[in-house]
Parts: sequence; structure tokens; C-alpha cells
Amino acid sequence: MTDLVEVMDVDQEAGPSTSSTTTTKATTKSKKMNVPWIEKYRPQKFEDIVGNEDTVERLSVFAEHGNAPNLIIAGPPGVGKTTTILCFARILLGPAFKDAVLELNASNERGIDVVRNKIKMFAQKKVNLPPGKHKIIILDEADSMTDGAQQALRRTMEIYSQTTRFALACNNSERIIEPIQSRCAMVRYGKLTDAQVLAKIMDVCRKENVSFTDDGLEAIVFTAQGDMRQALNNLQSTVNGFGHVNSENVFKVCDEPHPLLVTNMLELCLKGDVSQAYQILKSLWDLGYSPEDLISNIFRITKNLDIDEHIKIDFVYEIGLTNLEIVRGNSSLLQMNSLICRLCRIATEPKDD
Amino acid sequence: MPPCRGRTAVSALHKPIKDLREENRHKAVHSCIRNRYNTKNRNITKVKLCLVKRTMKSWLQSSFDLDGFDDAPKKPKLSQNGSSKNLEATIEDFDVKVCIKKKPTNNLTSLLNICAPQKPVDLAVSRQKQQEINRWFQEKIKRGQPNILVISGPSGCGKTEALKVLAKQNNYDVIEWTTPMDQGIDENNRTVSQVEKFEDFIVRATRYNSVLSDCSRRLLLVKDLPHSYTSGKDDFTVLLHKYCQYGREPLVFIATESGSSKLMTTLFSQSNRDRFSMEFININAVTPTALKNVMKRVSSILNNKASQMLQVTQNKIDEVLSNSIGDVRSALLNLIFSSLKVSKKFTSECSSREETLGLLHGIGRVINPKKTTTSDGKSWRFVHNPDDLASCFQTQANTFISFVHENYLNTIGLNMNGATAAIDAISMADIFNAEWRDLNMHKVALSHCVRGVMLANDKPVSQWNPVKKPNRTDLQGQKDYAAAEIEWYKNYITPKMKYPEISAEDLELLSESIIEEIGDDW
Repeated sequence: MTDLVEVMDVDQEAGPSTSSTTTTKATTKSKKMNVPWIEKYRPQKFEDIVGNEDTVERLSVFAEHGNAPNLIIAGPPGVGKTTTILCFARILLGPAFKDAVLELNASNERGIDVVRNKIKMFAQKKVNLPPGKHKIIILDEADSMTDGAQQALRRTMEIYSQTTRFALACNNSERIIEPIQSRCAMVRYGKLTDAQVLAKIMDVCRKENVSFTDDGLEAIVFTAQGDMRQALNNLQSTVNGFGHVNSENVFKVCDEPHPLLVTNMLELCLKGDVSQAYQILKSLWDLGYSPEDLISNIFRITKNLDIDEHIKIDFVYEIGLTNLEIVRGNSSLLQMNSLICRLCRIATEPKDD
Repeated sequence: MPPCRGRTAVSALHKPIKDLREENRHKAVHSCIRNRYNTKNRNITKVKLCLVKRTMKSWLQSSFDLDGFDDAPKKPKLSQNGSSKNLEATIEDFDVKVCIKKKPTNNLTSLLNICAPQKPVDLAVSRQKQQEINRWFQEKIKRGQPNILVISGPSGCGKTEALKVLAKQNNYDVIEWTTPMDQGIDENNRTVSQVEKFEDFIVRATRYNSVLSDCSRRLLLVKDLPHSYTSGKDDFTVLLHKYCQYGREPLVFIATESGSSKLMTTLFSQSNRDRFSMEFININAVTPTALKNVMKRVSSILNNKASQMLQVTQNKIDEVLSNSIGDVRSALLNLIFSSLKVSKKFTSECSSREETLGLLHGIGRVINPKKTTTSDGKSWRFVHNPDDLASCFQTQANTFISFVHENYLNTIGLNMNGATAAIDAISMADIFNAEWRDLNMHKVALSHCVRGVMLANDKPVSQWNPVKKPNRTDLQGQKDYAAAEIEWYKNYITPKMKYPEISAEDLELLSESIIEEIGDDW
């Protein structure tokens, strides 16, 4: 019986931000283990969405008055594309949300047949809506749709424009065929700034009564790289695993090469100290990090190093070459070592000019 | 019923069909006439119509977007002001079913409708291409003879609008084919396939005159072919044969050229072109000046008609222009989207906001790098951090790199070393970017490209050069490649032997098959 009650509770409370007000401690505790925070704190109102305020404001106006154009939201993962669209649909359609929204993502089959049948059927369906409001078809991860399916979608979009609007979310806008891009208002989402991610994380920490240190939060922000989903997931795993958020625990959970070590290594390279740099690389390698992880971390830290731009571009060049080798299968310590050596040479070489 | 839906053509959101407006008017006239038989005064119908439009909103409101924005040809204003009150009273008695909203100003479809070009001057298509189309209308078409025109061009360059406006000008009615969704059933309870319906449309749609039409001649417009044609081209040839035998009115195909579509090469191949003597008109992407003119015209309309919802400023126009190149439709949509009046301001917790950069602004910052010296005066840094710039365009690395490639020479002047360094960086980025197995490579590529070009250009030449859109050369490239390959094989296999003349048709077929192979490999 208690189980049942709990399950129901969870269903009701799946929404965010309601928990902070009146819910008792007991229910919050029991939920803590069950609901991923990324779902629990998924914004339901436009006001709660972090970042990209310009677009979100416009969409909120459209959501109130209706008559939105077809939309494409493009951006890196974890910046709130799907959240925005769902928010938009929920506010626009209100109680009719269940009937008037068709959501398809990459896990659904979306071949040309689905576009021809399922999407068209939905577009033809009759739903009573207030004037100016339209049914919405949400195509999440639209860049994974085949060309043929997109071609078929193109006319559907025009023909049913009287009754149906399309909202597409994608990571890579190049994979959406041009005719569809031309028929939609294209919105690009940028990465979230570290400050935005940090603010949200601190908010969640406060609501969940998490004990944390500053460097722990910093580590989470670093590992997330402007990806809110990753930040929240990392935070929750750290809390679940260790109960306390500090940088050590975070890097244990996320299992990335520690950025401090990598930074040290690059600074040694800048001084030309090959053997010391190699020691660090070797220790990282012995910890079992894959070369892909290492190289992407090295690149990320190189971007933020405060060095001369000419040296930086040569660094990026060498990192790119090594990355290319790794992707081709030459993922040995030797390749990484050669990268280190080349970086040292670049740093110590006298400038031509 | 044949699937010809010319008059009731479904209005596409982005291709507003002016006919619809007329149709509404027709409907209104008809219902007026139908319901008005008890009134005697027939010559005030028009006045009444106006009144119908004015008074209708209060008691009946359509929930569809089908309403027109009646501003096109201005009806003579009410001259009998005195009698208008009287008229209103009579109209109240009519049971008019068709309703036209008076206040559609926050209705997207009607907004797009009023932005549609009415006159050839308004078109975004260049004067020269308009003349070509006009010439086709005036010289090529012979009455009662079949005639095929294919208009091709990138999406959003105004192909359909141009055709419609010019057809109107030349006194043609446009009957558009819409692929039906459902399996139709004819009177004998037999299912009719799309292909059959399409054939029916091509051959018979123009047989009978429309009651509502005020144009003397008609043409058929096909924008989307039934899918079965795209796979087999023989069926299509057969269909064209049929049309040439029975058709009476000119037929226009509008084909969107996008990088991946093989439509142009398979369906409208050279052999087909010759056999059916098709006319071809290729419309280029809209030039920046034309786009600017269109935006100017549209912005004044929007500010007029939808002032309570939109506020179009020059800033917004510039922003939009910098983002959508050569595409009128998306420019217009984005303009409406971005100039929406936002009433309430959200208070964001963080003041620093990730800047969403327009593509062209981004390009501008890359090819026009600005430096500042740091406080100690020794070192310098870029005003716009290359990595921040790169991260703005992560979702479209390919596009960005090809744009930089197209435009980097604009500001580099005579600095040869800089040019080599820049193209080195770009080509290396291209190599990095071609690696599709690792997403991290795109980031590296973009970072390298941006920083490389910015570093290569020590002293950017300040002269005004519009940013150009890179040509989509992949299709032409594939074609050329195939042709070259055929030539090479010919020379290689039979260096001395005299080989029989290969007809152009065979060559075309051969190259197509090779193109397909290449396409499969990719």
C-alpha cells in the first residue's frame, strides 16, 4: 500500500520547483532516489528556462497568442531545446496538450512511411482548439531523419499549415534539408555560460539539501561544458555516490582526467620539459584513461590557456593531427607521447619573425 | 472528382495564394446573392460586401486561418455614407454563412498573405529572369498546344511567386497539383493510385472551364510529384508522352534544387529535355540588394497592418539579412519572429548572456579580426575570442568553414603570406572536419579554422565587400567527375582504336549511373 502511495506521489510531483514550498521532508527523501533530477527539475514555465532569453521571450508571446510559425531550434545538447518546445506546447495548448501534440524522437521510427502515414494522419485529425492555436508536431533530434523522410515532410508542412505547426529540434542544422530550413523560423541556441549552469546547480543543491564545496561545483561546471543535462546528472551521481560534492568526488564519478593534471602537463610542455610532461601523461595513461578522453580534455584546456595566439594555433593543429590518428585507430601511448614532444618543440622553437 | 484543386488550392503557409482571397470574395458574393434575393437593389452588392466584412466579426468568427486580408484591389470607398446605416440593418438579416474577419492582424497566415508580392516590381526574382518567363508566356505558348516549362532554383528564391504573379499578368489561371493523401475510390469502387490521379490531372484538368475564373487561359503547375515518379524515370517519360499527345494547356514544373536531390538529373535529363522540347529557366538565389528591397517593402506593410504585434526596426532587418542569404521565405519568417513585440521582460539571474551571433556577423569578425593590446603594452589579444566565435557555430561547422573559405580573401588585400597561411588553416580544418567518426574533430576543426584565419590577417583591408554565399558545387562536381571518368576510361581502354560516336543520350545515361554509384558510396 505504501508503495502505491509513493508511486502516485512521484507521478504528481514529477514537475519541478513545487517541492520547495510545502512538501514534507519525508516525501522529498523518498523521491530523491527515484526521479532523475534532470526530469525533476525540467522547467515547466518559460521563466525557469535558463539561457537564450531572447528566443524564450518571443516563444512565450507566441504561446499566449498562438499563430507561431514552424520552428527549428538548433543547438548543442543540454541547452534546453526540447524543454523549450515542450513548454511552448504545454502553455499554448493547455488542457488539449494530450490530444494536440504528436511527439516523435529518434527512438521512434521516422522513416518515409511514418511521415506519410502517422504524421499525415495526425495532421488531418480534428481537435477543437481556440482560434489561432494549432496542433503541434514535435520532431526531436530531427537531424537523424533520413533525407527521403524530410523531403516527404516538406509538402506536408505546407499543406497542413492551416491546422498544424511543426517544431523541430536538432543538434546539427546542416543535416536538415534546405527546403525545410526555408519553411521554418530558425532559432539557434548557444551554449550555456558557466555562470548560468552554476546558478542552476546551486539552486538544485539548495532544494535538495546537498552539502557541497566551491571547488566541487566548479568541477561539475567544468565537466559539463555548458551542458545542463550533464551537469545535473553528474551532480546527482556524485550526491548519490558520496553524499558530498567536492572536486575529488566529482572527478571520481565523472572519471575524466583531472584538468589540473592536464593543465600542469601543458604548462610543462610550454617550458619545454618533455620528461616531466611525459611522467604526467604516463600516470594518466596508467590510470586507464582512453586516448579519446585524454585528447579531448587536452584540447579543451588548450583553448583556455593564456598563451600567445600563434603558439595556440600550432597546438591546436598538432592536437587535431593526433586526434585524427586516434580516430583512425592508432590509439597508442606512442602517439600521445609524440604529441607531447611536438608541443614542446613548438613552445621552445625560436620565432621566425 | 478529378484531383484538380486549382481554385480551392490549399493555401500553403509560406506560399500565400492570392486566389484564396478572391475565392473568399467569390464565396461571399455568392452567399450574398443567394441570400439577398428579396432585396431589389442589385448594384449595391459590392458595398454590401464591404459591410459584410466590417460587421461580421461581432457575431460570427471563423476559427480557421482562411480569412483574407482584403487590401488588394481597393474597392471604391463607400460613397453613399448616408445609406450605410440602413444597409447594415439589412445585412443583419442575412444568414450569411461565410465570414471574413476584419481584424486578422495577429494571424500569421494572413500576415504572410499580405506580404505576398502583387506586382512584378515586388518580386525578388531578377528582372532578366522575369523577362525570360514572360517571353515564355508570350512567345512559346501556342494555344491548345502542350508546352513544358521547368523552373528550378534554390529554395526560397521566389520561383512559385514569380510564376504566379507573371501568370496573372499574362492572364493565366494557375491550377496547382496537390498530391492527395488518401487512397481515392472512384465511382466503381476501385482504388485509384496517386499516379493515375496525377495522369488524370495532367491530361484532363484543363478540359472544363472554371465558373469562378476571370482569366481566359490556364496553366498547370506541379510542385511535388507523386513519389513513385522519383524512383522510376521511365514512368515519367511515359507520362510526358501522354501529356504531349493529349494536353492542351502549358505545364510548369517547379523543382527545388537542393544538394541531394537527383530530380533534375534523372527526371529532367537531357534526353527528356530534347524529346519534349522543355524550356528551362534556372533562377538564382536572391541577391542581397533584392532581398533588402523585399524586406523594406514588407517591413512597411507589417508595421502598418500588425503594429500592435510587431515592431519592425532597421536593426532587426539587418540582423535577419545577415542570417538568411538568398532565401526570401526564411528571411520573412525570421523577421516576423524576431520583431515580435515582447511585453514582459524576464529577469535573468545572470547578466552575462551567451551572444547568439548571426552567421554573417561571425564571418565578419573572423575575416576582420580586431586586436587590442593588453594593459602592459607588450602582448595583444583578439577582441573577440576565437574559441567563443567557434563555439557559436558548433552546430554548423561545415557551413561556417565553407563561408569563411568563400570570403576570406575579401579583407586580406595583397598580403600573399597571409593568404597562404589562411588557406592552409582552412584546408587543414576541412581535413579535420571530414572525419565523421569523432564529434570532437568538428570542434578542433572549427577552432583551427577560425584562429588560423584571424591570425593570418595582420592588417585587414577595410573595404566594403558583401559576404557571399558559397556555391553549392557538389552536384555539378559529381557530374563533372562522372564525365571526366568516362573520358578517362575511354582513353585508357582504347587509346588508338577508333570508337563509335557515343550519342549524347547514352553519355547522359552513363554518367547518371555513375553519379548514382558515387552517391551510394557516399
